[in-house]
Amino acid sequence: MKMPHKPGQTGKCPPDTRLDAEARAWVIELSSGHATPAIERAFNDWRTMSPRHDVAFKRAWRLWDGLAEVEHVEQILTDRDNGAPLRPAPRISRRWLVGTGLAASLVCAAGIGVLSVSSTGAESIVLATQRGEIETFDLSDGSQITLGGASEVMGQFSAKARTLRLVEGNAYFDIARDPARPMTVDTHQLQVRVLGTRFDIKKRPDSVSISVDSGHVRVTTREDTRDLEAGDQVTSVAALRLGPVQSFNPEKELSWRTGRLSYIDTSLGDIIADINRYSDRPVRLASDAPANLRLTVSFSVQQIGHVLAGLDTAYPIDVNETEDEIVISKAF
Amino acid sequence: MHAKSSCPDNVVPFSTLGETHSAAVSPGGQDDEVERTRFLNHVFRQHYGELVGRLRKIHGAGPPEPEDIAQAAFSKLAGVKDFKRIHSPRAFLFRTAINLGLNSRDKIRRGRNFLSNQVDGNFASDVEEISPETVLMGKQELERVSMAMQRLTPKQKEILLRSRFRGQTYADIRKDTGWSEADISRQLARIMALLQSELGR
Repeated sequence: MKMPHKPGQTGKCPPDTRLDAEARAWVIELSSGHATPAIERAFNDWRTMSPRHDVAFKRAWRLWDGLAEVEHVEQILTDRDNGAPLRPAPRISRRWLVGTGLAASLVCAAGIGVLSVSSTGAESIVLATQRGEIETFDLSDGSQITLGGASEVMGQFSAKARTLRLVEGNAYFDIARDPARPMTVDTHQLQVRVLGTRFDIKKRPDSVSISVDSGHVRVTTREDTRDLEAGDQVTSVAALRLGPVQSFNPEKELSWRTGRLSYIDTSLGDIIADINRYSDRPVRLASDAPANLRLTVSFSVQQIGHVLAGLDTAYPIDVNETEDEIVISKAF
Repeated sequence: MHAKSSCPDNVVPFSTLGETHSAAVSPGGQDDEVERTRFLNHVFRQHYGELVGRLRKIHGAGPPEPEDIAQAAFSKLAGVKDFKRIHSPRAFLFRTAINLGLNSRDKIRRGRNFLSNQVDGNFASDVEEISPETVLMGKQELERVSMAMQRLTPKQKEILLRSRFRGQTYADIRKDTGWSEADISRQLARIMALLQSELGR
């Protein structure tokens, strides 16, 4: 039997012990109405592995069962007022970015997340991360957006439409379905239109790529249109044009959300563009550097220094570090 | 199932308590019975209307019908031998009614009974048999969970409401909302992680 889904895979969940996460997953699975004798036996095997397993299970069950004791729980859970869920968590330091004179609320713990509601009911959205940050933001419609480092999304939700713009960087969109309010995401080069689905957009200096994780989306430029389904990817190849629809490896393409950058036959220029969203120092390609060199590589954003040193050894490039920047040039 | 009343003032359900619940009454004589009847009538008048209102927020018009599970919860309360040990009749009634609602769904009842038996080792009882002194979380813990719950997204609140309180399966929720079952599972995992992290702080 497979283990129930383990929480905490998007970087959103706070750190906790592996056992607690497993225990919660078991409690959720067994409370879901899907339990079978085989699953119950597997759970028993897990629980009796050690007293610590048993304690973790009881802790998770106590929380799940005790939720009915929360005062006014029925009001909390049926309250769809955006004010409450968007109230800032008290523990995290943050900066505020206030929209045009309107009251603003913070969406998420780190990075910047601002929603401002106008008198017409339209909601302005500004989400941004700094270099090195990966954050998931919860939106008022139930959608979630995960931003990679140095990335920014802006937009507006009205009664009739949800319009977002990926200003910079890369973002994973988990869009709540709302047929009455289609969502469009504009990257300047292209537009993506969806009802409810999950997809990834990477905006790089010379191209934009869309990878669909679930559902389907329509990608348009002034010249081209592509309908993509789960597993499809398309990249803009030149101004206003889209390349062919290709399949992609979701494990690698979407691994950045857990802090891992993975590339298959990707140009050095694109890899360095991504690295610059996480590196503590800017990485610059010198004018003679082989920006089109194709690489297949996978590494944690914590290991950027080691990776660059490795590239220096394995490929015809020189990597020179100063206090202010890292410069990659052609090896002589 | 049970006679329904929309207003507690219209019904005095425990006036013949000594007869209807004789097995549950402690052998303390007539005074105890009088005290018990007074207590139950007081609790009924004070909490019945609110309890039905709270259940209606969760179940709508049903099924299960809020009046049905509210009255069944009062029957459970009347069946508690040592009613003086019930710390908060209001909380007891709400929790019991929620569990009765969950237990009206066979698949959910099975899982809940299994889990509950793992905790207390009691393989005979249904989960709704709540011991009156059972305290799952302390006041401060409940307040922390409440605050964390208020910060959930509307989507997360909807999923928690449907799964934990209405007893809907993932397939039920998918049918109603269009969200995928994998997404629902992932959201529940995230919700529980967020709520538990609040307790561990």
